[in-house]
Amino acid sequence: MLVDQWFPFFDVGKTLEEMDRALDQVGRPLGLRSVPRGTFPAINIYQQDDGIVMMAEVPGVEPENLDLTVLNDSVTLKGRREEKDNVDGNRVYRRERFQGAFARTVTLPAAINPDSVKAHYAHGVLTVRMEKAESAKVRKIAIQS
Amino acid sequence: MVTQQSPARAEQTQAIRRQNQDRRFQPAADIIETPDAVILKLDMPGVSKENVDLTVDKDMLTIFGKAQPEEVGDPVYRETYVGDYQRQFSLTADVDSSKITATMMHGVLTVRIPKAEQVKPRKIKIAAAE
Repeated sequence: MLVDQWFPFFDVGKTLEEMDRALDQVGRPLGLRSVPRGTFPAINIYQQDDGIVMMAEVPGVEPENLDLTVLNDSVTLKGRREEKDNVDGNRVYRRERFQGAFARTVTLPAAINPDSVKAHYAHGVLTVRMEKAESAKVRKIAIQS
Repeated sequence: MVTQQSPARAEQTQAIRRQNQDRRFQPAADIIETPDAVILKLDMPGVSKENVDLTVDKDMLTIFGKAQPEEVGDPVYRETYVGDYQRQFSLTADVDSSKITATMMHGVLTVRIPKAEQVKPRKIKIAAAE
């Protein structure tokens, strides 16, 4: 039987996968929590039965300076973050945090009811809760016997 | 089409999940030196004031922030990993580590590390020699 024969390269595939995983981690920027730089703010979208929740990480931005607009199934978040620490006499050694104006539009998994949008800002995270439009809601159909 | 996960792959997926659980992420930081202090600013969205932990051990400043989990349904699109924040900075003898102060505002932690007296810029008066 050849099945039990010792084959030194039997786990090459596994080794390559391991390497891919290691390299994938190297490619991540600095081990930052967020995605590559330039993508600000980072956005997560969750789906519930009748609603959609969007979470955007916008630390250091006053809620009044955020501009949130909704159109059909897309949400646009605009704003500006600026630090006023680049004055005379200061020396900047490291600048990893995003500065300036940002605008991001994301497409939601379903159309939403624009009247139901509620946004809440806490600890630098903007949470936007939306209800799905009636046409996009899951409907249960009674089966007649 | 149904793709069958190989046993090795499934095992690794498990390993990655385990790794993700207690993974700590480095928050993005700005380092600015003013005439009398060094200011650190770190983005830690989702962390409240009570969940920040600053420790100084000899010359190592450790900043740890516990982020609140945000599981509110099925993830559709994700750009961040779930985990806590941790970052370490080494301090030199030129700073006064006993006078470090920190404030948390809208998810941004600002740490102020005052410089030691002997390294602050001083203006030297020129005595008139007549």
